[in-house]
Amino acid sequence: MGLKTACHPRIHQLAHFQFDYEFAQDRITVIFGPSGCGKSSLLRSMVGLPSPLECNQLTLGEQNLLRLPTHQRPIVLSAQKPDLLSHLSVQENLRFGFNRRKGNADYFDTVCEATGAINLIGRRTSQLSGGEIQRVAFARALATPATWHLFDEPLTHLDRESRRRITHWLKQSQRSDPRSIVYVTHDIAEAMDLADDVVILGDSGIEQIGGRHTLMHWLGNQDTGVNLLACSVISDELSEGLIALKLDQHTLWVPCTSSIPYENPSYIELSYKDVSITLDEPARTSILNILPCKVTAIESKGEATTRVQLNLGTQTLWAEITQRSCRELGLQIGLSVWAQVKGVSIRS
Amino acid sequence: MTEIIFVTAKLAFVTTFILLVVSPPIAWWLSQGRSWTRSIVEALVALPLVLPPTVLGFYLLLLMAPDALFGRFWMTMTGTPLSFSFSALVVGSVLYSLPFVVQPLHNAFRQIPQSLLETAATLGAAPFDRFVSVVVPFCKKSFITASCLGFAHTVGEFGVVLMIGGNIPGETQVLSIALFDAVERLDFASAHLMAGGLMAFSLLSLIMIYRYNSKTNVGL
Repeated sequence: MGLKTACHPRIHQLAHFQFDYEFAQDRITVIFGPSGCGKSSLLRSMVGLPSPLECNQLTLGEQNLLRLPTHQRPIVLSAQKPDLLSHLSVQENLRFGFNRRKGNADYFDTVCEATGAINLIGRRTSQLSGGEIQRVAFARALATPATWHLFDEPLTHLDRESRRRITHWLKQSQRSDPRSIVYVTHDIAEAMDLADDVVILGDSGIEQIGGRHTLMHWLGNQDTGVNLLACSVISDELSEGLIALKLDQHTLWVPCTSSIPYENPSYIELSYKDVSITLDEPARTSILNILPCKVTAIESKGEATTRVQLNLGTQTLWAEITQRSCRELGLQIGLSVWAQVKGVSIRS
Repeated sequence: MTEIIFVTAKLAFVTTFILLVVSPPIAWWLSQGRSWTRSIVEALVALPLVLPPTVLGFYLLLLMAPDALFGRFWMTMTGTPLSFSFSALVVGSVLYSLPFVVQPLHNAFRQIPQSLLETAATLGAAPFDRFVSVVVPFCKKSFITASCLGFAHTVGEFGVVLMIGGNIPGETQVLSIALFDAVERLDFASAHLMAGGLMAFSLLSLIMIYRYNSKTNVGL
């Protein structure tokens, strides 16, 4: 049973916002969008908390959830600024929701372990850092038995590695024990790691609906200055700390900084500024990744810089270079060139 | 003398207990918004702070008289007259000490972050559950302060008790009245004992309250 949700604005500020969507059961739906577009308001309205948005439909099958007060809705929300109950210990916080709705004790333990909250159990809430508070709040919400779990940027204060460890676990556990999750984030990597479905929000509500590919495509049209490329892992074995990724027909060597196994497909982020262009195949260079490609577009960007779109096969790569370099190289559409990418500049 | 102390302590304990039952709902309701009715109730609760206690005592006396509405109601319910009884003292004390318990609680309730209650609600805690598991522990210090103030203030009241108590030994004679009597009798030895005792008790309770509160600033 999906969760049918429709919202309309209560106040002028979000006057054009309309939302009408059915969240799919047992899947992770990532809501992606710029800050201030109403992501948090949407989640708050779904659990019945005061919000600039008002839910006018919230149905789970035949059941109309709008009639239920917050504490009776089968929906748990982990808010953007999570509040631990400061008079309770970490352990009591973790059990707060779990104790009130009878649930599976094994799952509770699994969640505490996977999120690292178990290591914080003896601590007082006042001794926790921002990231630790988020771990506990995340675990507390996920361990609370509910039909739906809503997360509002739950892991923003965690370092990348810890965050990936948690999202990777969540993704894995979805295979054996799927949960229905709505996950708000504006972190590209997190969205790509987690999403089964993607809802892209803008100022007027839903802009696009789809999967990870839709998000990738949408991001490609945004002025982010970052290339987002789909790769597959050629071999799990590291060579001098590097992992080989297949990007179209090319091989990319990327330093492996994470102990978390790569998934296929996996996504890499590469700033436009970290791509340079040569006309001849470079030799005797420190740059590991040299990819033959074709210039497909040239756009000037500001006074001194130019963005050059390069075709790698099925995917495109943008390079940001100076206008002088562009002129001196004589770049033009259709020209075959070599794109150079430093291995260390790739975020994988 | 022990009888007087016993009556005083009993009055203070019973009053404090009743206040701890009555005040939290009032304080909670007051903290949940702003409206004319709330302002009026808040003013009514605070009235004993500014009114001469004799005014309150005077109206209570009229209200509790056996031929008055409340007095008759009490008579039919309990079979004993209300005026000049220990129960009358309790009723008077509860009204008189109400602001001393409601106000610290009101202040504390207003300071509870709304988000804490929201979090508890989304985790499945019902309203009363939220009050018990979030509000009460969060305002624990204010509850202690409020009950100490309520207790100490009840021990120290004079005007209301004088008007409605009747100074019956073993029934309604409390320390403050007995002190007044002793001075009238020129029994300065007893007066010193009682005045000094009350002084020491009040000072000690206030020191304890402020000492306790200096650690955190919730309430008051």
